[in-house]
Amino acid sequence: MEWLIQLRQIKRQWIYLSLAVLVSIPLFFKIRLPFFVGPQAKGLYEAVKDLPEDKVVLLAMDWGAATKGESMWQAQAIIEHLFKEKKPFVILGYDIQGPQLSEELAEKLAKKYGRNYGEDWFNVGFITGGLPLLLRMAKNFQATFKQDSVKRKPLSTFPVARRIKDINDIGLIIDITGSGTYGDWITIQTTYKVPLAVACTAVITPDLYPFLDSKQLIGMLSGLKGAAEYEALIKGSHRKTTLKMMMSQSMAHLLIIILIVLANIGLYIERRRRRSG
Amino acid sequence: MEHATTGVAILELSITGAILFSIFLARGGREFFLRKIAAFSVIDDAIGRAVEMGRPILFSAGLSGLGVTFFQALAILSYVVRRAAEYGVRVIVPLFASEVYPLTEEVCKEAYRAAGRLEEYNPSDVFFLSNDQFAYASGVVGIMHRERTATHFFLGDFAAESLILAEEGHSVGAVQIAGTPSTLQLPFFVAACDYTLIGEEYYAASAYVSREPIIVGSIKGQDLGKIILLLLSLSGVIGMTLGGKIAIIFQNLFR
Amino acid sequence: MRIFHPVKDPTLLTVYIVASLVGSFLVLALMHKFLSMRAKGRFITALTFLAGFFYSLEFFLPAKNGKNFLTPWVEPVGDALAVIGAFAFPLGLISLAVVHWGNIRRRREGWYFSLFLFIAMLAMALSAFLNHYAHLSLAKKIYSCLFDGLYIPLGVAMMSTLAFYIVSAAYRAFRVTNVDAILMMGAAIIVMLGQIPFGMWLTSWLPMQGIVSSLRIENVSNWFMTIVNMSVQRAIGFGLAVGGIAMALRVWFSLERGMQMGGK
Repeated sequence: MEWLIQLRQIKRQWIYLSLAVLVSIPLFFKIRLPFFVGPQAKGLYEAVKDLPEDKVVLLAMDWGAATKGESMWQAQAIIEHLFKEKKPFVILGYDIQGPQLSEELAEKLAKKYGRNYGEDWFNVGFITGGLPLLLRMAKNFQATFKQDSVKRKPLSTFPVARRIKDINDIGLIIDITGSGTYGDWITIQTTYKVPLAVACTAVITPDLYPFLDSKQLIGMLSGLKGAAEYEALIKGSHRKTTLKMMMSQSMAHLLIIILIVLANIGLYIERRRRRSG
Repeated sequence: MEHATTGVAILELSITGAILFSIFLARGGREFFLRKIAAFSVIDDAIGRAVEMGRPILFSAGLSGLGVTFFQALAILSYVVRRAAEYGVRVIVPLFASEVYPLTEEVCKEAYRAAGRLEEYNPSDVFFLSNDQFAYASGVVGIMHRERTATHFFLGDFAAESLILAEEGHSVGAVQIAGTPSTLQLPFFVAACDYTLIGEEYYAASAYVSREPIIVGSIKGQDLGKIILLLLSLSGVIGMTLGGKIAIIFQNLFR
Repeated sequence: MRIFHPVKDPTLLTVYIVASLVGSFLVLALMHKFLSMRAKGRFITALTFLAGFFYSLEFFLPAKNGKNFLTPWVEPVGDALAVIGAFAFPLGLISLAVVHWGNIRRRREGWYFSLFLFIAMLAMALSAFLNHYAHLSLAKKIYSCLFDGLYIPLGVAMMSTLAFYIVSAAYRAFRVTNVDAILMMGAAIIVMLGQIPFGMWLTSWLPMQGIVSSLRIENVSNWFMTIVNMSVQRAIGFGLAVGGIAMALRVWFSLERGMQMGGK
């Protein structure tokens, strides 16, 4: 019985080792479990599919290397869907690394789908200035951004960029974020009524449900699960990888649940012993 | 929304009016009751623990830049430093944003002066650490382990590094008091810290530590503001449920 | 606003920048010398009030076609405040230099880490500047090694440690001691299971449509997030928003001054 009480005090090192081992198992052994797509991911998928022909998508890559584990997979899936559906898009971001890292993703996927920089997408890069800059951009896109960040040429050089005069030419904004940058985009959405979706890290998701409920957001991808859902919807190149990673996440969640149960068993037995003795 | 609509203007002016009215009453000598919040009651005990153990206190304002969140953290820092200075305990304040450095330094110096211990103030206890989130977290964790801090205050804006700080702080055996207006990080602080200020308890901090009538009055005004919002929400729910013209009025109230 | 139009003539621009810097320093120096502490405090209070008053007035004044008479000033005032804020940038560097140079000079414990800080700063700054402006291939390699090879993986590694910390924090914190704790744990377990394929597998035998489908774990988890969580987030959000307004008012009217001066 003593060992059951000891379950309350498992050393941190054993917990970390168990986590590392369990999370690694699905990466080496195939584990197949059902996976269902939620309504929030479907909302974003439909919004991209139904985007009018004359509109451009704005991808706000407000993530960095630290949240690569979730944001990169989301960005990848979204860019692949845009290439598949031939929807033009512009990349920009509040984070220095986001536009840079997404450009690498776009270039890799562009080769697969035969898309060209400047005709199918362009990259404004890292932007500073917060909400005032976005409000300026909404009124006059060309005057706000002088050149792109990849070729360092005036925006008028690129056919896609020439299409964007102001916010009315943007048909959908997708903010891929690892922090609270969605606040500024919600303000833009409320002011100009342009459809907005957010792909965020799982920890931010609870904050966004009020905006989904009030229809300020038309879709949401939550963490790695959101990326896996979107890959499943678009039948993307990385759906097997994201599903494998979801299995790893399953192991981590299961470990947490098992540890909590074990700890409470130990607590219960200790209490019972104290009451009886 | 770039400019206030009529509905927004009325709502904001009502809430602001309620707060200013309460401040006015407080200035006139009216006393207001503040309920007990565990985290504030133990601040002195937490400082006392550091005194007993002869180890320093760590105060982190997280990723706060110059804003209302940081000013609130400063109010508590001022109190903590003054109390700690009275007992000769160091308060280490690593900063994330460089623009808050002169203000923080000034506050700490003033706190030492108020405690009559200005000559004991060590300028290298208040320093800019890093404005990269995880570099800041690593630096603070390093300080915790090297200085073997006895008490931690995490008050300000925090993001993902909150759990790193709280867990590592727990591993060095420190008493931890945390507070942040970010609802996303509250669960991590609640799980890993001893005391947590939830939601607007964080903004009431300066009222609790100073008991200044004006600040207590503004807390009361906050409650009035919340009552206004509550009544508005309830009437909105009833109006939308009833439907028809009333529902349209509520839908367009802030447009 | 003509006064805030960019100046194209480089000579005139240089004159403006030097004149405004010298002028600002002079004014600040004179104020520092001749004004009493009380007068300085009053000046700061007045400036704080004016700054807040400008933005509040611009927001509340009725606007025609999205503009009132203050709207054209918003952008230049914002730019001016951003420039003033940018002067704070060297403060961080100065603070770092003072602290770490002090460590090296006095050979305090771990002084070599301070030396390494300076080496790392210089290496990163030099390689970035040389890569960007001189396009040297060696600089590009060093920059790539430091940024892509070191800085980015370090950030990712720190973020990854969160996974371990979450497990140990949850294990330590979730104890069933009362009814509230049971409810919270039950909700947490359902939401966790609803996010993962294993949880979806547990209730995959339930039909996808119909009233019974709402008992599928992903639907129950979604209900927790969209109904329970959302309403609580809104409630806390209301409190925080009102608290933020109160705090902002206290800062605007400089009512927080007493605490910041370490006073009673």
